[in-house]
Amino acid sequence: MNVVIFGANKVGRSIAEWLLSDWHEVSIIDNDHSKLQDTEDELGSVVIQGDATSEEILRLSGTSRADIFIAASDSEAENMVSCQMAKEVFEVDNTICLIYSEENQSLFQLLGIDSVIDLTAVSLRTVQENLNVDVILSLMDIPGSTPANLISIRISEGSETIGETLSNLSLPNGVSVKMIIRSGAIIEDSVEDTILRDEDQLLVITDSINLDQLKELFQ
Amino acid sequence: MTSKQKNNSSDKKVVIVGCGNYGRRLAITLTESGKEVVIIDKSRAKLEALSQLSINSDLLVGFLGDGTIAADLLEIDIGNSDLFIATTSSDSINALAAQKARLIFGVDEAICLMSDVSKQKLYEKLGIKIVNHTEITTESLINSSLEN
Repeated sequence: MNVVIFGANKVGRSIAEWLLSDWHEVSIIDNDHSKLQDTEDELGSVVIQGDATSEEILRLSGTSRADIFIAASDSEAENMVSCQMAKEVFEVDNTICLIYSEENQSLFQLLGIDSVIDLTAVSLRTVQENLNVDVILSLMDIPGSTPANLISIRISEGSETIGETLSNLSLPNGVSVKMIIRSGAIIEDSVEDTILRDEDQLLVITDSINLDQLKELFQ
Repeated sequence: MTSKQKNNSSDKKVVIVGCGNYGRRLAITLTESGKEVVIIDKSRAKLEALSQLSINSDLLVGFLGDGTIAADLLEIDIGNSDLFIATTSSDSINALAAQKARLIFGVDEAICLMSDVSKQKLYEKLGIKIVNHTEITTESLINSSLEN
């Protein structure tokens, strides 16, 4: 495939590197000489210096032959214009535009850009997923005179609790560990005296106010 | 005399993005001909410079904000405008602001000031109405806006 990328920043360069390793033909456009120098040192002669919103530069970088045009620069306005030009003037089949907030998502889709990717939303989702998997997952709210939560805690690699037993750790008041699960099986020994390992999963009943403290302890 | 009496075409206001030389001149001339104008810029200093000039302040409002951001455009009540003119020094920013005004907020007429003349045909192909410094004077732009 033939791919033209606008933006010699980290994102643009990573995409280019990945495409090149898969033997695709890649050009990178940017206005910034020093960024292009770094890119050339890293990836070889794939760079074109100039304004990616100008017809001449897009033509020079082979946009008329491109299967995919990716706008990954730091300027959403320039990403928009370059994608629209690739689409309307050079008739590129697949145009991809990166943005950094949801502000412009619907406008850019309306303008006919094929994929609009909100990088902030992508990173936020990744972080959220990791937090859920690695530390605390809320399983159930337990109402009552003192409301509590049933939660699952997965012990992260760097946690200070690894190698300790629960009886040695001073857990906050209102926290009660009910069960330890290791490699998919319940540990039958005393919960209090089991030496904790990385990746162990604990089923815990706790007051809601302890969640942050627990997260810190086990991550 | 109220703006209504002077302005026989519509009661709607004009939004100008960018309080640079061009935006400022345009704002002054438009208010002189009785149009209500909101001018939006990210620079407090530029807006203050505008307010130093003796202008009919009933008709001209300066707003500190970003003309490409929906929240700011809503705050200046963009839905109640019929002409939107983007005059910042960046052609791409002007294009983004104008497209948003036209397609998201349904402003009848969105115009971009363009410094790079070679891009004009292409921008027009993208559905953006263009003026450039050399081709069109402030006065002729105002005349065309008042005819609407």
